[in-house]
Amino acid sequence: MAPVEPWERIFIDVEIYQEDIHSQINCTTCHNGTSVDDMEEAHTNLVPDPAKDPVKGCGNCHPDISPHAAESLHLTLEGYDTAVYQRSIPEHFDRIEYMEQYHCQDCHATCGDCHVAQPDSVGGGLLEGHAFVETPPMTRTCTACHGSRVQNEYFGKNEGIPPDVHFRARMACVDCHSGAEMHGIDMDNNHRYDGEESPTCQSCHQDQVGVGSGNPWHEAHGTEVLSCQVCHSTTYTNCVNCHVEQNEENIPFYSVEDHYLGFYIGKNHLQGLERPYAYVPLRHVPVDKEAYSYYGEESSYGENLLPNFDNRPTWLYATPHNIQLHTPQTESCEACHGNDAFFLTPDDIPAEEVAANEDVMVEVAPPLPEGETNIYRDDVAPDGTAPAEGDSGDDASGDDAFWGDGASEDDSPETETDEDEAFWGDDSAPSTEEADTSTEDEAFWGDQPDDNEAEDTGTTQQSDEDFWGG
Amino acid sequence: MRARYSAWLLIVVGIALVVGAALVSCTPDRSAPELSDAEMESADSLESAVSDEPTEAPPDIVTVDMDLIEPFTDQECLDCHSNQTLLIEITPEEEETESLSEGPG
Ligand code: HEC
Ligand code: HEC
Ligand code: HEC
Ligand code: HEC
Ligand code: HEC
Ligand code: HEC
Ligand code: HEC
Repeated sequence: MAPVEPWERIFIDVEIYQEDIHSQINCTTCHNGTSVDDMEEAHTNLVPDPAKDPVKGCGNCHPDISPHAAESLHLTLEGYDTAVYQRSIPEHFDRIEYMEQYHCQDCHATCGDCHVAQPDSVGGGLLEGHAFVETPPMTRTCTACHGSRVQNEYFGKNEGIPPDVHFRARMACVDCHSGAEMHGIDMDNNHRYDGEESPTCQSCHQDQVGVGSGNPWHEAHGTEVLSCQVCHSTTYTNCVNCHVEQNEENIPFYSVEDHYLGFYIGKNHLQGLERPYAYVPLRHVPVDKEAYSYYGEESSYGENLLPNFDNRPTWLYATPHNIQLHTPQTESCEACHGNDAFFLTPDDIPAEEVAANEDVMVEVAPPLPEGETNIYRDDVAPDGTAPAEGDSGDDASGDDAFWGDGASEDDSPETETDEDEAFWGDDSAPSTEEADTSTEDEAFWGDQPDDNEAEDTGTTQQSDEDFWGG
Repeated sequence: MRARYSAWLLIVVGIALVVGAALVSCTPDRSAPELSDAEMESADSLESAVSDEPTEAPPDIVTVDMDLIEPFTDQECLDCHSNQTLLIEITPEEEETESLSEGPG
């Protein structure tokens, strides 16, 4: 993301803003405060983000959106409550809520965070001189928050792993995630993976999947045994734990102490009508037994706040955003069947978390069913020129052989999808964040209109602010 | 004599008119017809058509007439926030406390 000067963040570009219908509304109608030539007085009782309460702030004129958005996961963060409460007991809920007030405020996504200004977590800053931007620019809104997981996967920033095929086809987040989904319209879910699956891969690839597609891989499994990501996604970030703390000045923060790349197929603990898959990729989420217990002296949030830690797996249903046509686990049927390296087995799980993950792990990788013949993918020769099965797996370095030395895809995937040697092409895509943007690309990349520096597109904010990615 | 008689007649008629007018104005107004049962029912049904649940407006329709918005008067706010030179001068440099948090999540 472009480093934005502090003044620029609050600079209203009259040229642009006057074209916007909202400029007819008085500032104070939305922001409170008083219109006087004295900053302190003007800012008294100011409401920096009028959309914190979307019904009050925008509901008069956007009644079809605001009440739904007010209940959306983006605004309520109910997904976190669901995950945390399930591991806790009602007696602790108010302590947890208290903790969340300190640690989670910045990540609530308001209307303004998608349409008017960059999120607080990256320091705010008006997107286009206070214009209300209809299509949220990807890197300055979505991936500013969804940084460490989705962004790194999608843009190919995890070392050695190419960007998502859809990214290479120049699709932005909103090409799959509609306004209606973002506004929580017709959604009554208390967690990301609650309720109808949306968006779905099938909605765009219907003819290419399942029985009747003519693709032996798809034919063998239909569309309900495996989620698409089991075969089409690859190594992703797993977080070890997360602790909330406060510094000497009582400023709250969190830290995720460790993370690693890996790929783990396991059982789907959400299996049901909406997500029928027996197997899905699982991601270790940043939680451990002591996650919310406090470390310092004064402001303990409480001891043992997650007494029911074992009620919910720590390895959870995941939809990694690094879809590839070809992946290491699909080099042959038996690259996956019978190969523990790609599955979540007890060996992968620390002893204190085994109980929580009983329902999702497998003792051994399921063998190829009897009567089935192992085949190799068309681009992989069965005579050993293909990377050996044992080479790949959750050992991230093993992927290098497959993806080819950190090299990666360029912006025109068509050119090499069926080339076998130069697997991911010969250029340097993990650093394609700097997809040198010509001006017409700016809407896609979400650059500022007056920004002529190309190298900021992929955000430099890799680490800190990325807590809520994914 | 004749003139006197007609004068009396005029006075009596005049008084009668005044009294009559007063009486008429005091009679209860029965001009509004009683509402029939049928009409009452239709009035009821009108009311019950307004439910607690607002009917969903089709997307993209903004229900407020923008012409009803009060004229823009917050010129001081706008002047300051669109004055680049001034903003550069008075905006504090960034503090580094923006995010202490670390690690992916
Ligand atoms: C229709 C309501 C509305 C009106 C009218 C409005 N704003 Fe805003 N303003 C917003 C929203 C929403 C944001 C985004 C806040 C966020 O997401 O943090 C915002 C953001 C801002 C910011 C940046 C805050 C930050 O730190 O990111 C400034 C400065 C600002 N407005 C000033 C003004 C001024 C001055 C006017 C009048 C010329 C005005 N606004 C009119 C709704 C409004
Ligand atoms: C006084 C009425 C009014 C208020 C209050 C209002 N809007 Fe709007 N908004 C409009 C109108 C009118 C449009 C234009 C609709 C169109 O062009 O189809 C619009 C369009 C938009 C658009 C689409 C942008 C575009 O260029 O078409 C967004 C996004 C938006 N509003 C967000 C907000 C947010 C967020 C708030 C609250 C902070 C808000 N609005 C408050 C009247 C309002
Ligand atoms: C201000 C930070 C922020 C911004 C900006 C943001 N998100 Fe989110 N998003 C979150 C948080 C936090 C959650 C988790 C909510 C939960 O699970 O309770 C979330 C959840 C989601 C979800 C899953 C829940 C759902 O509602 O379906 C999707 C999908 C998503 N975001 C996509 C996007 C896209 C696409 C954009 C850009 C148009 C975007 N987000 C912008 C913070 C943000
Ligand atoms: C997480 C990001 C996100 C949040 C939060 C969000 N929106 Fe949107 N909004 C979108 C996306 C994505 C679109 C679709 C853009 C497109 O199709 O180009 C959209 C479209 C719109 C539009 C124009 C099209 C339409 O559906 O009418 C309006 C108006 C709008 N949003 C208003 C709002 C208001 C008001 C809020 C808060 C109550 C809000 N948005 C919150 C992402 C968001
Ligand atoms: C909004 C539509 C859309 C959605 C949703 C979508 N895709 Fe795609 N997908 C495309 C487009 C467009 C391409 C690039 C054009 C092409 O090669 O077919 C593509 C390409 C692909 C390719 C590479 C095809 C090739 O021949 O190189 C794979 C594999 C793929 N998608 C899998 C998925 C999976 C898995 C999902 C769900 C996680 C998904 N897609 C969701 C539109 C979509
Ligand atoms: C068992 C593994 C497996 C599963 C599950 C799977 N795919 Fe595939 N898919 C493949 C393989 C392998 C190829 C490439 C075949 C080749 O190149 O010879 C492929 C090819 C594709 C293609 C390229 C077009 C085509 O027909 O060849 C698309 C698009 C695609 N898959 C989408 C999906 C979607 C969407 C899902 C989920 C419904 C899915 N796949 C589930 C293994 C799988
Ligand atoms: C990336 C992993 C992966 C690959 C590649 C893969 N499979 Fe599977 N397959 C599975 C898993 C997991 C199951 C579910 C096993 C279970 O239910 O115990 C499965 C189930 C099956 C089933 C049973 C389907 C059913 O309806 O229950 C058949 C048949 C099958 N695979 C054949 C194949 C063939 C043939 C290939 C190669 C063309 C192949 N598989 C490639 C992971 C894979």
